[in-house]
Amino acid sequence: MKLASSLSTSSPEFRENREWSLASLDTVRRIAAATVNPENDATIERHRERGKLTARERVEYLLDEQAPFIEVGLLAGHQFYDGVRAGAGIITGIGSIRAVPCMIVANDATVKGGSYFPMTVKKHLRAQEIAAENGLPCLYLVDSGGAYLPLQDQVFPDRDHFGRIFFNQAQMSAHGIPQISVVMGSCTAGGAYVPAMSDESIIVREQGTIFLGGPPLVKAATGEEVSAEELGGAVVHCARSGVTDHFAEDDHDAIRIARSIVGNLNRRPSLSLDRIAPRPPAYPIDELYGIIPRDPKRPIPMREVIARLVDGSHFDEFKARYGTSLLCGFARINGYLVGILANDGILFSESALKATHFIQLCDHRRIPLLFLQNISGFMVGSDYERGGIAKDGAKMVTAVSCASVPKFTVIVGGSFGAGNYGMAGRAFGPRLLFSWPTSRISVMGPEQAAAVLAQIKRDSLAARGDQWPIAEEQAFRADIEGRYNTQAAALYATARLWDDGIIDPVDTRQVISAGLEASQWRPWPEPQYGVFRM
Amino acid sequence: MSHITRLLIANRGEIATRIAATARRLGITSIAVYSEADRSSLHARSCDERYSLGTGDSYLDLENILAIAKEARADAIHPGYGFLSENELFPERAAQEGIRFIGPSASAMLQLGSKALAKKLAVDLSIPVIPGAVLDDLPIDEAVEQSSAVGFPLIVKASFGGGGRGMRVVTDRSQLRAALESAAREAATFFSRGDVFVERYLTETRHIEVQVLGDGKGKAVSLGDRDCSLQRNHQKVIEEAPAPFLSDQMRESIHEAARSLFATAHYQGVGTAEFLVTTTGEFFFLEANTRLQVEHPVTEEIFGIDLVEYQIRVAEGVSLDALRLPIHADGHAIEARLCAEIPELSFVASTGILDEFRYPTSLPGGSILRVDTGFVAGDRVSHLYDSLLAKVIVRASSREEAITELAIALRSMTVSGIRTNRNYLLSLLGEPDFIHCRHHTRTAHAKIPEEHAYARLLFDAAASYWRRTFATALTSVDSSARWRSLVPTARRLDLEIDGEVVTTSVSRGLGGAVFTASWRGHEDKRPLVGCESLTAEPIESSDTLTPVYLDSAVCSIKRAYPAIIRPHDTTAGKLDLIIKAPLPGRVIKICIAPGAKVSDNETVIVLESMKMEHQITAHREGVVRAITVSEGQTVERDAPLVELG
Repeated sequence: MKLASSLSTSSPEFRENREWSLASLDTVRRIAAATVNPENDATIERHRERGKLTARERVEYLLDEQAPFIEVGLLAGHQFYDGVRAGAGIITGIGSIRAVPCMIVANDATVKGGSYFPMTVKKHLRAQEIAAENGLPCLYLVDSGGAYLPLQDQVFPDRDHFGRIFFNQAQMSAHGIPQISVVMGSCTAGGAYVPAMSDESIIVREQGTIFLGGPPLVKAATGEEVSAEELGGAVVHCARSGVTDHFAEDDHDAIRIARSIVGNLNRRPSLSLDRIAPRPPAYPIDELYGIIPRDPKRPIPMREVIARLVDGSHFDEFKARYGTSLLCGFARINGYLVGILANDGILFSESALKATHFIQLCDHRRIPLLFLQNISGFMVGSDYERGGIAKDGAKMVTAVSCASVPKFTVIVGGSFGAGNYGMAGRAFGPRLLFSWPTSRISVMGPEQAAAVLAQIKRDSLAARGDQWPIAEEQAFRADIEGRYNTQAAALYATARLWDDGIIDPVDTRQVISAGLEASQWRPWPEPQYGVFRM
Repeated sequence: MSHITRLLIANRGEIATRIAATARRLGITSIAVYSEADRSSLHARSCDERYSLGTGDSYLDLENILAIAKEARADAIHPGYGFLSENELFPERAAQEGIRFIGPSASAMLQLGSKALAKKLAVDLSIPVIPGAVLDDLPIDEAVEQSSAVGFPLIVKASFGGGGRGMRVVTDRSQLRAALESAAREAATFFSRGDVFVERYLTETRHIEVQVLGDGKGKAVSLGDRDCSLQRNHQKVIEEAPAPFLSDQMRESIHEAARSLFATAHYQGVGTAEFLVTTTGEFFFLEANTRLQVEHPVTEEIFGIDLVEYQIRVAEGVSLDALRLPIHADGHAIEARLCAEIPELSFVASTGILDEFRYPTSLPGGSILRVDTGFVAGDRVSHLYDSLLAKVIVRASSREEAITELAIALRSMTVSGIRTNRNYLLSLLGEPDFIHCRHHTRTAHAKIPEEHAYARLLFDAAASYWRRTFATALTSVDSSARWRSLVPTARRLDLEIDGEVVTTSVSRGLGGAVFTASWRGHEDKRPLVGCESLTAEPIESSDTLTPVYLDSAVCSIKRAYPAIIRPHDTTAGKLDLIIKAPLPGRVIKICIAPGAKVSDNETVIVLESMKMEHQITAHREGVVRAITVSEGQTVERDAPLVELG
């Protein structure tokens, strides 16, 4: 049924919320703009003078002109490394080429020569993870000096470090997910394996080079003096070594060839989602800005949020009178049928059971799940513990973990504690996870954390018979709250790739819709149990 | 006389193909001659037998063609139009070799074909003529004097020629000498005779011509008339039959004049008398054509006849009475000449491979569609020959319907790989002056697209293309098209529109999408509102050619991948110093020497293309470092000619 709205857009509260939301968005936007369109950058000028397109231009030209680009980790590594813009020197995201959704991974040689910092590696691996789950062909636009050597201990040896890139390439290739490299610059040492491990690769004349050891290393090792081009240029690899398959005249030509390769992949969707003609929400989407309360103590009216995210504001609610602090129901986003779970208060046992039931229902009906996180946490207290809220919460976490349909998560408000798990937090493998600029994520809220830690400290002081002056306790609390506040911020989270990016709330439909579209390109696993009535 | 059984067609292209079709229908063996470039051409393949022109490789080598005709045991030769068709040596030499020439006798050809003699004959017959002067063999100074006496503006014409070749309009005396010289040079190139004459240049007149058929024994009949007023540089572009809005009295007068001219000359076969008709109801005899005209199909279509068959029958000695000539015309026919040229760039020839070439075989309104062409998809369009790609002819019950249906036919054609004048033709068909019959011989000239107008067309096409790409993505209501996270970036896309690379970009902001484009220094910016009508097919892939239909034009668009010039590329940096051929052609004159200083806009090379001379000028000043071509050499478009230092 169509959701009714009781929102007053003329209230001072709405206006205040809106200003605050837009200011938060603007902060994020400005950081993003500095990454997408860096200004007055001498490195970029030099890059262009060599006849090379920038990484972003390469991505733009590669994609179908009408295609949306669902960028992953746009602000990853924000304020992590000196002289490295947000984005960690790599562009990753989903975009279609000749109508086939693909995962694009493009090194940005104007950021420290495209070297892999720890965040660069994490981002590259996240992109491959998305590609593998959704069966998206990977296009690596390679222009990188390889691992950032000063931080080798954080990029080379571990399971999820540099080597994993090649492991993933081999695994995806084995599962029939095309791996395509376009060598548009350096591909040295480990980097050489990106094209070498690809199904098909392109190299740009007098620009792309691939070698295990560059000329200086060769000279040191064997005394042989050889130019980069002679050692591993396009002519060598296309005509002699066979490491690359296609010889491109320049970046544009390489992009032309890459597009033609995708045109010959013979790929079609593995399944087709339930979709009808899309409709916009019945209420203006940009009213979302005024809905999220600036005061974190005030609840977010989630039905108002849903009414601005789904087609026609139409939401068929499931168990509307049971476990009412969690909304479950069916709706359409851009025409696609989805099952939505949205927190509308504290999680109780009933809410967790309702969620478990609904998740299983959707799993069996093969309906993708959308989690709208707005968590204040599970209810605490002896009544609830005795009522077994832990085991009910565990049921929800189990259902979320084992659901085999695609899951999508949007952190709309807070994401605190175990509720994050039950609502498909990062650890629970949603296909995509995006945050709104004002969202917050931490193990518990700053005030609660400060209160809990202060209590513990006070207790331990008391045990020793010491007093804790009020002023000191206040300072202690303020410090904890401050730290939690900083770390809970969406920007802090996105810089660490705890999400796939911060989005403008009004773009939520686009992002989810693109994720749904992409989910059709690899078969979904089958559910293992029937639906349990909780 | 006996029947013709083996007919050699001394021509190429659509006319040779068309003649072969009649021969086949009449059970006559057709024999083609072909040049090296035409080895696999439609005209050679549509004849029963075919012979290479051999070493000379020229359709103008009369003796060679006669030798081939003898070898092939041809008993008749059809000259078509152009080439040797108006060379009076041809009927004479053919007769000596015992081969029938499909056309008039040498004397009749000379009397009507020489513009000066024809004019004299007209004067003798009291047919009004335009004041002028014959300049054959006159020394240049005297020619200038005599010409000046005719008065300005005047027009210089080749005495033996047609199709606008060798013609020059001169508005004052200072231009006269140069015009006479270059007209003579061009006439010599194209018609192998350099004789020219001048006459007063009448503006805002209609070009009306009468189709005549003579028996060679002093009898001639007229077979309707045609209006060929839509001309560009004196070349007919659109022709129609019957000539509309001609009073019965005027029609009778010019028909009578035409018949008397051809009858008096004892003309045999089909010919045409051309007249200029003024708005005030006067008419002047212009010239006679002693051959089949390019535009003959419009006459055939309204009468339901085959003029080539008449030519053959008359040559066989069949009397006009025995031909059972039609009395009444039915309906209205219009022909448009689809040419391989770029109207927007001063009509330079477009050459290369005709990748796609398809046209409908019928029309929705039920009118008759006829396409006469010598090309099929995959053929090479060479600058060696005429740029005529196809004649598109429609016969309908009324003139209005014929115009509409011809436009539909043109829009339904698919041509790629080669640029054409299609959009120019469409603009003429949509011209109100033409539709309402207020057109004259300058009307088509006024519709020649200017570069800025062409830029506008390209931008319209690009914007339409972008709207359609959005429409494809608009399966979602709140369009995810071009969505970018947080930062709306402009999407640059280089589009190849009919071979021109247009740089476009679309950026999405809060207020919607904004489209910008540039081409050759022209700029465009506009909001990209709405999407194309639902009937527009979504764009499958930008990598394949997609037609875009605008109100009065059709364009083909695909993604372009422009070459990036890199510092280590050897040609980089020097590009600005190279003078390139703006069109394909043959180098006929090199005007500079290595080491010479050239100034901006100085002529360095003269190229001949489509039988016209083109002066290639330096685009900057400099010293000639190298000349990369030699006189007589054939060059493609954009070939380097001269390198400056």
